[in-house]
Amino acid sequence: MLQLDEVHTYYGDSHVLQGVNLEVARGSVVALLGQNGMGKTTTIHSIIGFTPPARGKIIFKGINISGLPPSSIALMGMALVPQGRRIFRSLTVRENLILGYRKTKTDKTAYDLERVYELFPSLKLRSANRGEQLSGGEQQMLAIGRALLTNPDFILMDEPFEGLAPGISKELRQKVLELKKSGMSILLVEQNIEAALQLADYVYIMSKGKIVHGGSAAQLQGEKDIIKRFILL
Amino acid sequence: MEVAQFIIQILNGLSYGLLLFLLAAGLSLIFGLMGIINLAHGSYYMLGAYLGLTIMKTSANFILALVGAATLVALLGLIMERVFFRGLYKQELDQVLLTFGFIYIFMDLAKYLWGGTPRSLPTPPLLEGSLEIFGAAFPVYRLALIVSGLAVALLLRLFLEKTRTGMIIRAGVDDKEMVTALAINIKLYFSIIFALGAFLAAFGGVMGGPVIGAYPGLDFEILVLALAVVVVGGLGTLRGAFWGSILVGFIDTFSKALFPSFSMLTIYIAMALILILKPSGLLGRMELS
Ligand SMILES: Nc1ncnc2c1ncn2[C@@H]1O[C@H](COP(=O)(O)OP(=O)(O)OP(=O)(O)O)[C@@H](O)[C@H]1O
Ligand SMILES: [Mg+2]
Repeated sequence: MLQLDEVHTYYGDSHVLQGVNLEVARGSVVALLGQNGMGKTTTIHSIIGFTPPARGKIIFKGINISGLPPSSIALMGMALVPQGRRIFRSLTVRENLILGYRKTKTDKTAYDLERVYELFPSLKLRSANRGEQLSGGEQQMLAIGRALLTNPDFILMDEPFEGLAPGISKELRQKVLELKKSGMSILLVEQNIEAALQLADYVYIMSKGKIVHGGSAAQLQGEKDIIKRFILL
Repeated sequence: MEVAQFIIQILNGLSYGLLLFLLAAGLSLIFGLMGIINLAHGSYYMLGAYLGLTIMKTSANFILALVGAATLVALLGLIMERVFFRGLYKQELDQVLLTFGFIYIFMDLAKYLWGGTPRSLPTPPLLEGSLEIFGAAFPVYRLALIVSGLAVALLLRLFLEKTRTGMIIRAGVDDKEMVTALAINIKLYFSIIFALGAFLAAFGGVMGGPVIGAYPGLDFEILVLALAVVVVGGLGTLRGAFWGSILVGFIDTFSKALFPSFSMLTIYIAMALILILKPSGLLGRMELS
């Protein structure tokens, strides 16, 4: 589905991504783990096209998308659940959801407004409220629902459980697990190794702009303590 | 001030404020969506007034002058956006210099085409004459200014609130990068809002023509007032532009009546006070940085 090959990204002079290689197979959930400031969000932004890489290839569905504008990349079936949620605060919940709605699939797996309201009933109750009036948990549901309504084949999720109360965080992890079971391909950025191991098939660990370790969830389960001590601290 | 005089001044302030709104709405929305302060916005107003004059002279049709001048200036705005601003997003200093340069180009062009003497647009015959309000005379045309200003405000609001294009523009003011991640080509909407802003400014130029006229320097004068409006009302929202315009219209009208030699100073004082007390403007979302 997605493959990054020696991706280098800069902010002005600062060389943030220093040759990132990673792969997300169709239908799998891959986690990208790393501490604050290691380049996880920059990786996500390089993929969606917000910060186009200076060098390297990003192959999505067999096409090199590096350098394409975000709208073209999204049109190819990629969606973003960004860090900090980035809800359109002056739009209503309903408007936030329908803004990017695209009916690309016709089968039962396609998302429409009703289906997203079924997935997140509290959004239906709040449909006329403006984005800025929602709680953190509701905003996160909205960010996920907004992404689903573009009917993507691949979703980038950047720390979707960040700053949420434990109850709501658990509920959302369950929803992501359901998405995974439905066959969605996801690249999930996490700081928490437990969440990553619970959801992902494969885990990459990022440090200072490079992938320093990678392995299947089962494999990393065994190395958990070493990883916590030496890489994530 | 007598009651009648007071009411007349209120109506004057309202008509002037609504005229300013036609300008400030575009200025504010363009900034909100694209981050550009288009200093040539006052020039759109002036060019609208002059073009309206010319069309009026050849056709003697006020509606045609209104729509024709506004459409021509909208085209001009569209070309400016496509050709000159496309490459300059996020480069604020270059943008300001560019828009400043356009002010001088349009100023010289207007002098060349229409000369240096102040001109005035004829009042449409249907709207000539005046009404009596508590014994004082109030021109019918000014009432028409109020009505049409309110109508445009309402239409703009419906456009922004009820249409898909309006929804995308509002979302873009909130977070335009995120809009692109939803497979929406935001640049198309940059063009739409730029053309719309230019259209409204020129529309205002023609509407204001019978009262204010057209003369060299009008572009600067009206630009300063429109900038005052967006400072007072706040950038990026229609509501801010609306109430800011009404407030500046009142301040300008009343200070001209009460202390004529300090009227501009009063507006600057109001601007400074608001910037100190609430840097994002009364109803704005963004701080001027
Ligand atoms: N817009 C920017 N301009 C300059 N430097 C930036 C910018 N955004 C991020 N950086 C720097 O790039 C590095 C990587 O940042 P990034 O946001 O990718 O980290 P992250 O792994 O997502 O961190 P977190 O877990 O805190 O979200 C950091 O050192 C950060 O300071
Ligand atoms: Mg991050």
